[in-house]
Amino acid sequence: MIRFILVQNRQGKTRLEKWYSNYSEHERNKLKAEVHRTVASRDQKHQSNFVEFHNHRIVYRRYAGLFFCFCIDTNDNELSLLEAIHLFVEVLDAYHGNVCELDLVFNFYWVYSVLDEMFLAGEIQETSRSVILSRMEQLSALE
Amino acid sequence: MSFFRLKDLIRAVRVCKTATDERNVIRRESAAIRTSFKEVESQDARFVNVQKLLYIYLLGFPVQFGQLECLKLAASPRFSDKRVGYLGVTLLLDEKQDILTLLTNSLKNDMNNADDYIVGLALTTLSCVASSEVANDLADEVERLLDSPRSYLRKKAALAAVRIVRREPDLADAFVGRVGALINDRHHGVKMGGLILLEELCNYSQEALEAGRKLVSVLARQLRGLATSEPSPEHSVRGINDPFMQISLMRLMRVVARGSQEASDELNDVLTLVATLDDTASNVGTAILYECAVTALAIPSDQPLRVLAINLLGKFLANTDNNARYVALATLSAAVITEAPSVQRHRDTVLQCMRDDDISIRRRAVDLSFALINAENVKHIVNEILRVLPHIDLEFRSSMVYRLSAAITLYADSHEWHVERMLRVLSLGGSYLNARDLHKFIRLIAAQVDEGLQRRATRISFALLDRDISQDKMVIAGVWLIGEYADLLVARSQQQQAADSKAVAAAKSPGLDEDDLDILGALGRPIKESAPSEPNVPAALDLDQDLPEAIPEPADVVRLLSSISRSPVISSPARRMTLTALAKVAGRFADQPSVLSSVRTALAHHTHSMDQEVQARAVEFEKLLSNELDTVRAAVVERMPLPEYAEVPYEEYVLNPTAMRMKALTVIKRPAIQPEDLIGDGSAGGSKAATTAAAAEANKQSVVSDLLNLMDEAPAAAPSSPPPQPQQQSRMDSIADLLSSTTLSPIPASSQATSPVSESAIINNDDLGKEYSVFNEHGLKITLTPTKKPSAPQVIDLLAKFTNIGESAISDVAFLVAVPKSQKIQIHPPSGQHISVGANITQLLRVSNPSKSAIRLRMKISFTEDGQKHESMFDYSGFPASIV
Repeated sequence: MIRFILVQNRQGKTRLEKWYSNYSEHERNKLKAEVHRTVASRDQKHQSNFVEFHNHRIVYRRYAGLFFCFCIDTNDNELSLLEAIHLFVEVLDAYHGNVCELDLVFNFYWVYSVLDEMFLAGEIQETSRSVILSRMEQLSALE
Repeated sequence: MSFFRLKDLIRAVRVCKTATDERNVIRRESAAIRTSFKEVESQDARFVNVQKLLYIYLLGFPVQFGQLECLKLAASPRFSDKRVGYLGVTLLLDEKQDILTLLTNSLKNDMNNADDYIVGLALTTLSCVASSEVANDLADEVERLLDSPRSYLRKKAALAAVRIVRREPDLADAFVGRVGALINDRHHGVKMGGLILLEELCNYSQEALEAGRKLVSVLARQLRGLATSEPSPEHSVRGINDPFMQISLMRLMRVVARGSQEASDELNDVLTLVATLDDTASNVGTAILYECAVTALAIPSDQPLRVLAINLLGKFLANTDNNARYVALATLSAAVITEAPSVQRHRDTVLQCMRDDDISIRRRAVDLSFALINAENVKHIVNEILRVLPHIDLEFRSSMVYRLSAAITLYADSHEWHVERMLRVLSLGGSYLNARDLHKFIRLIAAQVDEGLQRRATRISFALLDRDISQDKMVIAGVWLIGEYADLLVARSQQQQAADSKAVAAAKSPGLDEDDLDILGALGRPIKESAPSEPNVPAALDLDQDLPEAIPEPADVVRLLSSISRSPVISSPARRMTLTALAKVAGRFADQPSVLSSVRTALAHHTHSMDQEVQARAVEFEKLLSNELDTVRAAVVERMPLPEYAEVPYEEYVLNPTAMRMKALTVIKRPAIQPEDLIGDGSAGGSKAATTAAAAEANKQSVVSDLLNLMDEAPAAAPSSPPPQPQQQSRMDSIADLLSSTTLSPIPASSQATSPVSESAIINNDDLGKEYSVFNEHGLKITLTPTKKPSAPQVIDLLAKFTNIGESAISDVAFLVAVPKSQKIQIHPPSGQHISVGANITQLLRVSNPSKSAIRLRMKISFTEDGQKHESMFDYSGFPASIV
């Protein structure tokens, strides 16, 4: 299962966080800093997108200045999670049209909506782009 | 002042130039929000406030005061309020907080709401924060929603059930009956949720596992359908049909078919199909193949499929994609236990990966390389690992060096190879070796019957130390060898000389570089005193070449040791060891005054050392080398007996920790060299054999003693003797003190001529078996009874009998014995320490006397009789000349 999801920029500012396992406030802050240190220092060209992290594994992908990091169990399929990250970013992109870090800052609540439509309880919930997008449209119509 | 909307706050934060400005804005805004929470009871204000609060939270500021407001907002009837409220709940609350129970009611209400969107919201929130308490309360609602007519809700309910079961495994059975319908659901998302739910349930419920096994044919059919049909536009990724569903199916197959031959047989065909259909061109293709390989290896599948799976992973290793290589190495490490022959085929690729650019891949490749080691390929793999050792990340080295020494110890087929490889390990990564492995290595050399190996090891060490002293453990091992076997290092009898020149000629064979020749030419070359302190990095030794050997003159030995002892780069223990080696060298070449004087000079350098221990050693050894101790010195610097050492075997999975973590059931028995094998039988003849046999025995008995450690090693027998000193140097001091403080004439260091007596005569000697009285004072009588075993003519067993002939009980008997240098003694534990009136105790002394010199004993007895302590030291040499 996915333990937590973090989206951080290169300075280590967290733009999105979702915790599927139980971590206290203090642990969360520690993990955020640690994930940033681990991931940001890696060579993006020559290194794999996976890195061991305590007893788990981080699957991450960098899009422009943002790191999308998923902390998963070691028996999960890293490659498929990597694909899921890409799908998530594609959906964000399709929903907002060329998404950038600022969009995440200003519209963090709808980013969370997209996330909740795609991932639930630490598992992948929906993998169809069109289903998620039509759902998002319905939700924004309700606002 | 408060910002009216969220957007205004975000803007205000963004225009802040410094972190302090930002903090100020946030602090002001937090205060305003808090006041507003207290004063204004309107949902509109709360909506805005909570929104702003969440933004502040994302910036990393504390906002715990808003938790209750989130709950209040979630209870509002408006959807947009609920949305923000529940988002706040999922972000600000964790399941440990009591406040969570307040949430239960509003979640329950919302799950019964007529509006699907609100029900969905409640399910989402539940899936994020449910504690076991909340899970218990709401399990019924979730179960009901699994039957909802809306696929959207069924999908969410399935995953909410996953969360509930994780928190409260007892509830698993309630959901088992539902999963069949979910997996057969028409809707894609529901089906996937069902697969995940069943996988989770199988972890907790046997019933679920059985239900899952009944579904195996359904799973196989679905997977076959996905793999062979045309990609559906909605779910395909880069031309591959629904990869996420395929992977979920295979994950579930892995769980249900594990340990079931029947289920595995049913899955065999479809997994083979998947393994042959996809390619590794894209990430999704690799992901599916990877899942397929892992599943095929995890279940009891057919052999051809397993080989196919390993080959798939092997193919990943050749992939240019780092990610594929990474997962392949991880999986192969786990598979090597059961699929060793197939994995071995990819050995060279694995070894190549130790040089990868990615540290994670390097780490995995190193692990897997060690895991692949077996008796056949140990030489090849150890060589490859030695090749990368000097270049690999520092953080790996200590574990690599540890596993290298384990692999070498476990799989060495000859002691020559073992010693030679360990010297290479030491020279390349000696600073990372742990003390236990270092001692193992030293003990191995010391236990050798064959002096040739000790000579070779010492000469190699000399040459290596001459090049480089940056590896601390190499220095310790090297100087120990040089000190201990200095006589072998330089000894050049005619035969040896011939052999040496051959060895040198061999070493000079083509391919040797300038540098090596220079080392070999070090014989007469004066070693620069400052050389080792220079940070010059010597050229790496070629693994295909023999290690260089040096045959120095005694003067060179002293020069090297002296320059090492002065080097600023070595550690304090290494420096002390070097001083000890110097003292020993002085003893080995006692006949060469020039050596003695240069050792004195070298020691003098350290008598003012800032390091207390080093200074103490230097002063002690300087004293030892002074003229008044001429007679005892040789005995003090005598070669050490086989170091006593409790063999600690390597853990079973030392070379493959992954397997240990996986608790694999397969146990691999590795042939290990038994210490007994190292020691020749005592009857084999030859002085060396006898002494080592005796020493081996001594080791078993855990009591070994000779002149050097007489005073320390006897605590079992002598509670009144000084406490054991941790360092062997101190042992020498204590015996030196003992001897110098006594008025008795010292024991002759070397014995006079011996009468040649035939072996059989010795054994049948009538003088054996008689009691010789050696002591009779204060009511204690000591007699010695010499005996011999025909198998070991050089060894005399002396049975000491302590008889209480007085009128009061004797207690605290401690008996110490020393013999001349040419002999060795081993003292067994006494049968007791207290002797009641008229009774006796015995103690066995075993004297090894290869040179057949007269038996001379110096004994020290201490005991308490009638509350009075007696102590006495006396010599005895009254055995008939036939007992030698």
